[in-house]
Amino acid sequence: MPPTMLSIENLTVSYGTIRAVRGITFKVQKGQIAALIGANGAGKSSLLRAISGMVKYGGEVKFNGTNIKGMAADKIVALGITHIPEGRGIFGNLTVKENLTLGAWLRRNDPEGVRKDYEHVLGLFPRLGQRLGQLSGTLSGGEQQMLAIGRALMSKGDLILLDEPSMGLSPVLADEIFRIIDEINRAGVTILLVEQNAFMALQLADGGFVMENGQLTLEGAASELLTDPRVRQAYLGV
Amino acid sequence: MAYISQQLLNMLQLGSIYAVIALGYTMVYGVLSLINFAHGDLFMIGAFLCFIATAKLHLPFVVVLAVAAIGTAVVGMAVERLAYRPLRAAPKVSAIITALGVGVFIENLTLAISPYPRHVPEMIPNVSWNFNGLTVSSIAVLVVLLSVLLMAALDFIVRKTRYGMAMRALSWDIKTLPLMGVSVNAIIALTFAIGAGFGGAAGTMYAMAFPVIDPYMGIMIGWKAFIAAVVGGIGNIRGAMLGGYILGAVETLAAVALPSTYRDFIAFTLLLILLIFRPNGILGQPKTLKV
Repeated sequence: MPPTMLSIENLTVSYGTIRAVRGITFKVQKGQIAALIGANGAGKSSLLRAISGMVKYGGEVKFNGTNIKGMAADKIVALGITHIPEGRGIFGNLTVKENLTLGAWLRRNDPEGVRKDYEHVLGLFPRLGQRLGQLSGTLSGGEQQMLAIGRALMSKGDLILLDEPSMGLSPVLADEIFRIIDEINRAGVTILLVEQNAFMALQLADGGFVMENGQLTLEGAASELLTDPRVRQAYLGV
Repeated sequence: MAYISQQLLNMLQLGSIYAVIALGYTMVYGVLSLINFAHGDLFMIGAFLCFIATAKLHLPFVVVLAVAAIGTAVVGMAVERLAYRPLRAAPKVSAIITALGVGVFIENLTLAISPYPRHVPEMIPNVSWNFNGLTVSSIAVLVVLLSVLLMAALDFIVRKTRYGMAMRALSWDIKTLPLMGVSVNAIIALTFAIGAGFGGAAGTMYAMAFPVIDPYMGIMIGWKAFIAAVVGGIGNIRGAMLGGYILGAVETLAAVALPSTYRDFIAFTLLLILLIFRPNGILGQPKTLKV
């Protein structure tokens, strides 16, 4: 069993009187892709926001054994957690190149490594290379998703929290993005993937969690969840 | 001819000072969408620091300028830390009320310490050159040169440096920026430091050109520079410069053509009319191209 990278214990997130996440406990192992699936409004994005320090929460989050509760979001990035938020979080008033540079903000002392990763990202996404000087707000949805993933790679985190990468993409583009997520994972990056497209996510993932109304209702190996009748009925439409 | 050239020079000098103050408003607004109504009073602080450095400490001009700019930058950062940061998540109107309150506080604090108008001694030798009847003073030359230098520096910082990039990113999406590992608090503090530092530099330039200063001087000049920033397109750096020079020109021309008591009336009327036709300001665009 690989070591635990991310450990979530009894996590709760509330917005005023609305309880978005109601006591969730799970672990993500190093080197894995863990898929978190569930319907719109199940609390998946809130959970990611809690982990990356964007919202206050109850419970505990440990990353490589360190308790990161209450840490500022930018400090959490420094520990090695990169969050690609819902809607991609591209800075539309910055060029493609500037967005990528911003991703490497904390790596000032590693210009050589940054340059290598930059080349690597442009190799993964040649279309970004053709649009380096363009304002990223003018990119298509698929290109923005590529930029968001490329920018996340520039921060060289050990864990990437990925929120709905397939959202708004054509099936062909979504396939392409998922292929690249797989490639990133093979290079040693652990991934917590939030998806509404349960079928694609579970095919890619090692382990899966199903979230409903702020709580985990099912968890297990991705291959098991794919054949579980409850998942098939609720999320795979078969 | 000489008269017209003379007025042009006056316009340029006054416009330069407005432009540098307007940049402070536009920086903070462009990054945070907050109108820092205390900025005019930070400008006044700059002028008083300039007075202390010149009249009391007898420092050379370059040091005076640095003391005023850096000192005001520190005050600006303190204002942000103590007054604005606690209200960052509060409704915008609360932040605006706070800004107005901070302004009144700074005025009255200065009033408590130094209630009387002060005369700022000469900082550089006041030499005048005569070209066919056109008088050019060393002070006017320095004010204009300084403002051009400051504007070019700011433009460079915002467009080309990593901190400028972070400021632009912050103006687009303050929630996502921390996910890049950027400390939002640090970038906001830096924004206030630069904005207030420009106010302090403008205070020095003003005290050099118009050497009588008082605790209330920042109110009217602050409002004018704010309007200059709005006319140019608030949040837009080049717009703030343009707005400053336009206001300087309008004021100078109004004073030439009419009794000088009409000056502000005419200037503000023209600016208000301009805003009816260009509500986002001359270079301003709705939302997208900020800072």
